[in-house]
Amino acid sequence: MKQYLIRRLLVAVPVLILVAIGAFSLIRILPGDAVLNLVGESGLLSPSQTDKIREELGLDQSYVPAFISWVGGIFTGDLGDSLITGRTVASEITRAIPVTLQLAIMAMLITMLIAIPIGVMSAIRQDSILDYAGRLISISGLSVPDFLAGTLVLVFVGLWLKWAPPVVFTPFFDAPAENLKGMFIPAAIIGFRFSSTSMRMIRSTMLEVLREDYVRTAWAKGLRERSVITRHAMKNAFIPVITILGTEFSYLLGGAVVVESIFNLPGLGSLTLGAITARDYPVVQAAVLLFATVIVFMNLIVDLSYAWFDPRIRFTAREA
Amino acid sequence: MVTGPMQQIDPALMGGVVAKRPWRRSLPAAIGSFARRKPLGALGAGIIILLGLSAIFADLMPYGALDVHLRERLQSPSWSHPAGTDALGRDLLTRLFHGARVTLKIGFLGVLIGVSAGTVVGLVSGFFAGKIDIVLQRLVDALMAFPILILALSLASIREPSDTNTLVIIGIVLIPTTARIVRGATLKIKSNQYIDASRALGATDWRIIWRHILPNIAAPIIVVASVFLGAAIIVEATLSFLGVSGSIERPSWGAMIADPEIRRNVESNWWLVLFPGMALVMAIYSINMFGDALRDVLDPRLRGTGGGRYGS
Repeated sequence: MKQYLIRRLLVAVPVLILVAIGAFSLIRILPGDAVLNLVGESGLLSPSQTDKIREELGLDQSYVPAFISWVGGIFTGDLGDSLITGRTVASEITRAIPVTLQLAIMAMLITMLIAIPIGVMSAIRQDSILDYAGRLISISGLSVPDFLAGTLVLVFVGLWLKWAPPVVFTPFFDAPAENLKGMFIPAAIIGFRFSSTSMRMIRSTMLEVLREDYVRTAWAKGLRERSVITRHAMKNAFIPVITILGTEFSYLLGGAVVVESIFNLPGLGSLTLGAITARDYPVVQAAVLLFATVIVFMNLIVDLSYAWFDPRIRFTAREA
Repeated sequence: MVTGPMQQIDPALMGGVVAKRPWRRSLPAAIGSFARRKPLGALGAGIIILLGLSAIFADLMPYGALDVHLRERLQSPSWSHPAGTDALGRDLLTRLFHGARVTLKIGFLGVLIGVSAGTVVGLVSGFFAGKIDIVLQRLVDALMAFPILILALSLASIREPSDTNTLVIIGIVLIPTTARIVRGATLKIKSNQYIDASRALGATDWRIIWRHILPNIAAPIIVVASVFLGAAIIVEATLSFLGVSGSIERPSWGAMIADPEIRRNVESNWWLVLFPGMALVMAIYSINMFGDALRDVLDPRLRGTGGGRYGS
């Protein structure tokens, strides 16, 4: 296990370095002068002001020293200031994290509530009407892009139920009920979209497990269906499902970008989108890096938990 | 009577081999059998063809996609404007047909670019293995660490919005997953004895790749391409919706759904979101149904792996 852990960590390091290079290089692969592009949209600035911006972006230095000082900034928490709001990038991001985190957790819970029962039912009643209905729901989820689902909900739920997203975001710990009123629908949209892939995965792994010898043995022992399904089949089917939920986490974050901006949630997604459209490079670099780092770590945790849950991997790793 | 080894092969076995490769049969026969086995998939393919036809003949509509008739602005669906008109009096149905052009062009070309590039990366990585494999795989890992949309948006922010730009973005976004799948398939084929045999006969690396590996991994590549077509269309529509793909003038379904008129007055302008939304969902749904059926027929092992990024 220890060796597996070390090997897995060693793979994550170069990926993180590449990710940092990628996020950092965004501003440098711009054709022309990034600062002039920026100023061209906001109005006239004096040469001394453009020089100051250039210095802040590290564009007065050559690539390698600038990269090193930027990476150094990550560890000290000094990622520069937003070009638009003037606040520090670190404060912009720390304000946005709780919103996206809450959205992600809620969406994940909704995903599991939808995907697990339907996926399991689909598998144990294969080719029944239930199965077809489940698969229909799943393909629908795959076929409706987040932005369309968001717009449709905003438009038609608004029309029929007179619901509108709150103009001002209320943090969960200030007023939980107010907060959930604004968060539930966006989370449900992401959760529904996300559940479609998970549902298919759960169905297919369940189908595979149901054909295993130990499930036949469980039936042969005379166990009731409920106990065969929950104690023998589901327990084994869910190991790959954990992996899938983890690796597909990046989808969930991507969905958050669109949904947050449609529903006025001040999370990481809308922060990034706003920064990208306003060419607020310090914020874009930091946010992109954060997203990618979260996903790299998520994959790492998933791999390790996989090894932890599945004794076969744990023991072969120990022997190796 | 001389019986060569050819005659001794069990005909049933030969039948089995042929049946596994439906594309070796005559095309109409293959299509017919596909339609019988997978009616929903065939329906999906039919709808895609219809969309293609409406894209090709969009210019035959009595209105132009950019014709402004301010007197006829925001009309609800009627005989002269079956899908209504937008805030500038442009006929929505005409714009939907032109939008099909944008969607299908960017979808197909984007997938072509991304899947070809990803196939090259995956083949090189899987076939040559060693250091080059390690380097390429870390690059693929790094690309996969960015959520698709964040990657697409950051790339979109680099240059002025244009169709070419969107094509390149979709290509880049599709590379890592394709490369992973092709690499896996290549590794599997590479361990077959006939590869060793042809190497022993003096075949070069490129000949082995071209004549032996590529034909054998064609099925997963086709399946991946069909699954990614839906993904590519979603990326294009999302970028258009967010206003970072193509010009604002250009009729694209995603951009049509972003029409500010929709939010300004929903109750009277519902058709502005309903029809482009329906067109988009219909296109993606058909592609997904067709892709699913194709996957079942060509490569049952990939079943259930979803429409998105495959797990590692």
